[in-house]
Amino acid sequence: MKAKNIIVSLLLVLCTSAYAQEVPKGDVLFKGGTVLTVSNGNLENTDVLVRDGKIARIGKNLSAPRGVETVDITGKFLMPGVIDAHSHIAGSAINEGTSQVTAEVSMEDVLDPYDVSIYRALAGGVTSIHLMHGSANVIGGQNETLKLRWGLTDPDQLRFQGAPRTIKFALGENPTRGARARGIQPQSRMGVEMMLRNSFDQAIEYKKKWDAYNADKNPRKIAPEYDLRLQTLVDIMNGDVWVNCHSYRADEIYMLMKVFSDYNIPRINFQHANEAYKVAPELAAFGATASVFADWWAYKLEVYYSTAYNAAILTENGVLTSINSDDAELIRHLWHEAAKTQKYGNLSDDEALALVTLNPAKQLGIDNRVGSIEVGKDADVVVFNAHPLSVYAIPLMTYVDGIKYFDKENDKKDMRIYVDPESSIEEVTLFNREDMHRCMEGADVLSFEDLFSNKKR
Amino acid sequence: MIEQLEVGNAGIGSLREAGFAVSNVVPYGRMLPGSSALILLKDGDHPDDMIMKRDFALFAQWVGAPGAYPGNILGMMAKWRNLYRNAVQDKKHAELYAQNPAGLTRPENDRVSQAFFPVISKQKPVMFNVDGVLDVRRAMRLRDDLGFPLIVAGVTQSWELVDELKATNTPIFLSLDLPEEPKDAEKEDKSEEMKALEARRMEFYKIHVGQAAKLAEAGVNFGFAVGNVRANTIMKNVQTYIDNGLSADAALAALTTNPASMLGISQVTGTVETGKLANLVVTTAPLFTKDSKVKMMFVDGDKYEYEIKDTPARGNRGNGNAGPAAAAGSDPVVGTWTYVMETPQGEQGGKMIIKRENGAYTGTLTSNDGAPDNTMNNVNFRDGELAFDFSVDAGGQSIELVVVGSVTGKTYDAQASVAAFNVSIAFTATKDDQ
Repeated sequence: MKAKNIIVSLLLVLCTSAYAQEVPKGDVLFKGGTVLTVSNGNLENTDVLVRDGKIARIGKNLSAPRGVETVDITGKFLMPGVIDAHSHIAGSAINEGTSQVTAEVSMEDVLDPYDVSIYRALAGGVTSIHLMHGSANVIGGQNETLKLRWGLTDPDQLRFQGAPRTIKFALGENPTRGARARGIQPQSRMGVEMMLRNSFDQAIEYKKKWDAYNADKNPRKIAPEYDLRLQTLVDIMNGDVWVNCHSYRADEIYMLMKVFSDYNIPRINFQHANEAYKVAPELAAFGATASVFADWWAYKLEVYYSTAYNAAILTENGVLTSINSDDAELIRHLWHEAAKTQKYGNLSDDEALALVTLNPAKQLGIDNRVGSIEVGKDADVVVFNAHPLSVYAIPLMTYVDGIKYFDKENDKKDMRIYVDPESSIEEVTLFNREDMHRCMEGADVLSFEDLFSNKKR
Repeated sequence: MIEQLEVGNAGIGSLREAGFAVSNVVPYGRMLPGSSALILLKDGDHPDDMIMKRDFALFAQWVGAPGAYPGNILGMMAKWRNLYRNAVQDKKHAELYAQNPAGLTRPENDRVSQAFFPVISKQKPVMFNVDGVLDVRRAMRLRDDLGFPLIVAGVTQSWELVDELKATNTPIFLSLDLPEEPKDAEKEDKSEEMKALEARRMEFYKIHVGQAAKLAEAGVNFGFAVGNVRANTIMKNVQTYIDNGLSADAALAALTTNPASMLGISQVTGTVETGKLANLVVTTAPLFTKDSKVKMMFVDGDKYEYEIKDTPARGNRGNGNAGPAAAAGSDPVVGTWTYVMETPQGEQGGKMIIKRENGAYTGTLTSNDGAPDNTMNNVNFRDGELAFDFSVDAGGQSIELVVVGSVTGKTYDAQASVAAFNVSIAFTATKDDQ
């Protein structure tokens, strides 16, 4: 019997290495805390039982099955893990900015499980991120939704299996700035719109060619040229890839809705969308959603007409809204950002918490798995010492699939999982500013004259 | 590769002097520079004299095109998928056309696409030059998605890949480019934090130098990749792997039988056996002992003898020709030059200092206006043409300038081009009198 068990576990080990998607899943009983379900109000003095990475039971006086650890959270708060709908951590590259349409590239190919920002985000209660391509080009690359399983180093083990494919688009100053520097299209918002329309028109022609080929019964038929870029645009038009569009101004937000209406593309999530409040009813009518900042503004001309009421106005108008970080530091306290909507807009606790949990989950198409505390959902949860909408709240423990990846009590000083032997110690800092704003990383183009200038930049 | 092969290249002699008889040589370039060749490290009159297999593997690396598509790993992964998928289609088209061209369009003579054909039919492997673990995983990911036979070479971080390498039976050439052993700060009042950080750095150094032992222990057969490691460091670094747990037998296998089998030449070389090539090394002491020096090399039966001195071994070949340490005076490019570059901001100038070390050219560009020195990369001199590139740091972005031109006596007349801007400027230099 014992020998048989050994063989079985050996087989399991072999399977794990051959199929890297296998990830650890845990069992745990959270006992006696306040459970902020987000979807079903707050449950006082309630237990949550997790089996095999899923929430198995929610109730009073649950007892731990044999071998299942009990975590006493009396006086503490259990809430769904924070989901950041716009992040640039855990990627080896962010922009393939050398072309204005790069739909074919995917963040999935460039995950970096060694980025210590993953652990720092876990310490801020984050369990999932939407790792996005940057905003250097009009049609950027495909994004990847991740679970923050820190310590697993096979990139596939960070992927959120089953999450829908998404892609980055960008309007306004970022793509036109790069294009002006390179002397290519589009140099204005008019050009951005034409580039989108031209791209979709090309994709329609491409699809026609392939449809004709697929319908052809001739055994000696010759396939048309394959183009991963155009194929991805076809996938967008088929609804298989969801567009997340970097945008700020109301006019460009409205423009994209018109373009998508013309090409029958039903789904858009506007990212940043500082002026979305101006077109909130139009967004609601279209069914578009928005992922915004709580109160970031004025860092360039196109973000001057901003308001901290943006999230609340959108929510009140029936637009599914989330609040994101776009930043390796802000990601660590997104619940603060959600709380700002109570000062600016009087959102309820559930509405405010949903901005960083259930709503981003819906926007990413993963709300059947995460975003609220419900039986059957993944046990991606965070334990706070105080109500997360309080400024005194601190995350104590963060779980993904019932596995604890952060524990404030056992927080080692050096959590890096790789250290370059040739690095100098002085370089090690708690916080690397370079990680902060990666939206336009690698996209800045200097003029030829700048190359030979002795001026310091 | 065969088009880039130079019979007189001093790298051949210096690698041979380090004890190597066969090399899988790879072409210069970027993402897909061409095919590698298996060569015998002997002196020939023509590249054909050295070739064992002319197109051994399709060579690939993660080197993007600066300022052009694909610029980085994002674009390169996508470009690979696109190229491969079209090559599969083109191959099918070519086969249909070969069977019977009637009614079919004539296949385009697309040499890039055609280079993939033997890879698609698994007759030729792709050798990916990769270093870190993520780069290896990305090559393996393409292999898993597209289905080509893969060899990974130049790997610097293999310890987390042991299971995958074994499960997929992927041939691996471990890099001989080892990190420098970290030196802890010499301070009396070191903080606990500093000590802990130094300990972690050392922990990872030990993991690096212990990885060969780990692979051998797990039963993964591996060879070594010399890459750009200087010839006189090669055996020293093999010794470092041995000092950190690799058995001498496993090290010897990694230098002989393993690569022979991974390169498909174990029937002709890799062991000392009747009927195999006379590729032999004679050393003054057992190979992996400290003072062991190469006394004689036999490559394909040709004998090369080395003078053994007390100072670092540097010998001349048996037949008396100049060895790899060619005297600077006789070399048309080695020395100090004064250069002028016609930039849009006016003339910029300085010294161009070219040296030759272990058979390879190295160089530095200084600047008269006090800007930092630039290292000259890929310095290549052939048939009177001197080419090199260097990078300018422009606000955190690295811009590469490629300089190509001809050397006539003491003048160098060249163009420096910046692919990112599609611009060329004049670059001229005059050799200083010594």
